[in-house]
Amino acid sequence: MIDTFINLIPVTLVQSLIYAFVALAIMIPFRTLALPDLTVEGSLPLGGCIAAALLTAGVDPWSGTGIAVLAGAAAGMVTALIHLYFQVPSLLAGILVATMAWSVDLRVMAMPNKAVPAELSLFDWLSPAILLDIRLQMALLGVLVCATLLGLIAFYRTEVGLTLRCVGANARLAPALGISRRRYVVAGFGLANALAALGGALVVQTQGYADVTMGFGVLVNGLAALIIGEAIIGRATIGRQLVAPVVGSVIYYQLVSLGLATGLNPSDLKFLTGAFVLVTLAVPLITGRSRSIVGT
Amino acid sequence: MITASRLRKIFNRGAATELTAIAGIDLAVAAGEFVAVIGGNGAGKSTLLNLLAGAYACDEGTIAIDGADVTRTPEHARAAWVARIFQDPMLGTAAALTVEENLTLALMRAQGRGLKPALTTARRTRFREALSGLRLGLEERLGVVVSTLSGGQRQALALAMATLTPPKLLLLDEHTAALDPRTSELVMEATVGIVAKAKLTTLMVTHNMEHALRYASRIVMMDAGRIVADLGSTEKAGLGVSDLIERFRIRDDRIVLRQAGGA
Repeated sequence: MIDTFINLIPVTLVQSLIYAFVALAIMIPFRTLALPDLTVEGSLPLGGCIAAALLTAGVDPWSGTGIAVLAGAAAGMVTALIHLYFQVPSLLAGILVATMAWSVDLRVMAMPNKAVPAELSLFDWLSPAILLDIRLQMALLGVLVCATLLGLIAFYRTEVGLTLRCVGANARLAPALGISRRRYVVAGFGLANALAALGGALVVQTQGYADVTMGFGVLVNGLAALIIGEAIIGRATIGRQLVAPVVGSVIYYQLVSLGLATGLNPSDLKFLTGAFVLVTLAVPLITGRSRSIVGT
Repeated sequence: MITASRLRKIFNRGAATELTAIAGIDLAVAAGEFVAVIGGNGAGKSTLLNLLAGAYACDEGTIAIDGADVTRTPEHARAAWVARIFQDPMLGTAAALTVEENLTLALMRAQGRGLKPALTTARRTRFREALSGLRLGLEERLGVVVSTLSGGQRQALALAMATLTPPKLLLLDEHTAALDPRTSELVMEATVGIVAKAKLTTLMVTHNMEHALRYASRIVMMDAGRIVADLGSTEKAGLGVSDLIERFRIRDDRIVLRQAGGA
């Protein structure tokens, strides 16, 4: 049993590095804008399905992935605009967009799932050896995740990045300091869901197919990953806050793999992940510690 | 020069709870004037400040800063000229960010923002200079997260933030009312020092008659959304706290009755 887990470590690592983008996409609105966003459940499959449709239609993998990322950004911005202009709570706005994205996915692919042959993928474009060698995939995705992290850390240390954090830290103060809250919420949601769509496009190109249901449950998985990462890395500085979801994602998917290898029924997984998130939400309240992990 | 003409603000218009908070105000504040705004609860003092800051849109009337009409300019755009300190120390600073990050955000209020690094050595030097004048030791604590500071320190930081780049109008909304008496005096003295040094045009809402008499160059008294008295420096010269309360029959349980020099 444990051999199965050990054999699967590299495959799970590749999976977790891709889902690290999703965990980052959940963290950004939640922690740096103090606004929870559910759009990832729609922007991840949107990115995946658009990439699948474009690649199989003959578009080169760079453009296909790029357009998928832009579509994710657009989905996030629409959620933000619904929230800001129609005063719909951000979670409900995200559910609306994610639900509507489902129909867009079906339209774009014209079917509920679509195979994406390996030779059409970004990985194959770089080198046909990559999809045959799990170590190359680990290295490539590791580099990609690290580059994204460094880019995000640099961004959050710029004037614009600091302003984004101010919107989350004190929404009432922001306009008094000359900050248009709307502009930054739209940009933040766009950035986050661009990352989720990138995750979706990469999932499709590693596993070789897209499915409209591929977003189901990713929010809770990502939240669990974020909670684990923050418990280990902390969130005292913006650097730690950004590294936490990545580390959390790597650990969470290995834990899931370990559970499955030791006889956990896969159909119980969503319940257990949900229960885990619930417990981490409830413990600080039950034990009377005022600092809840998910804020107030 | 700040001019407000025929300002009106009505909350919940048409509903049973309709409330005329500002019922026609004309006010001209010359550059460098320090105006104290006093009045009972519900007189409209804070609403007036919110209208001037742009946090509320006025229903009628116009607001101009140095001749430029800003009536329809939203709060975040008006912040290039208007700085503000809130009563609640939690509101005026971003608690989760550090002292230097808060000051950087304040610096960008007038300068705008780009994709340059937010924190630079030159900025830190400037922040240390601005904070050392407050004599609270904050200049040694630039990297400290603001949530660990006391209310008085946070309000002092808010003062440094509001005045780092001299605004054309400084709005103080009972900014010392939530502090203990000693800290309140410290923050007030720091405020007066900075305002005098930079000759800032200031509007201060206060319930402390002694502060109004001692520090302001002009006292504006409000009641039921109107200005009912406007005392320049010569008119207020001979007045004491008890005169103010008696003369204007201020119905306000929050007024500080401590008397200045037995007056």
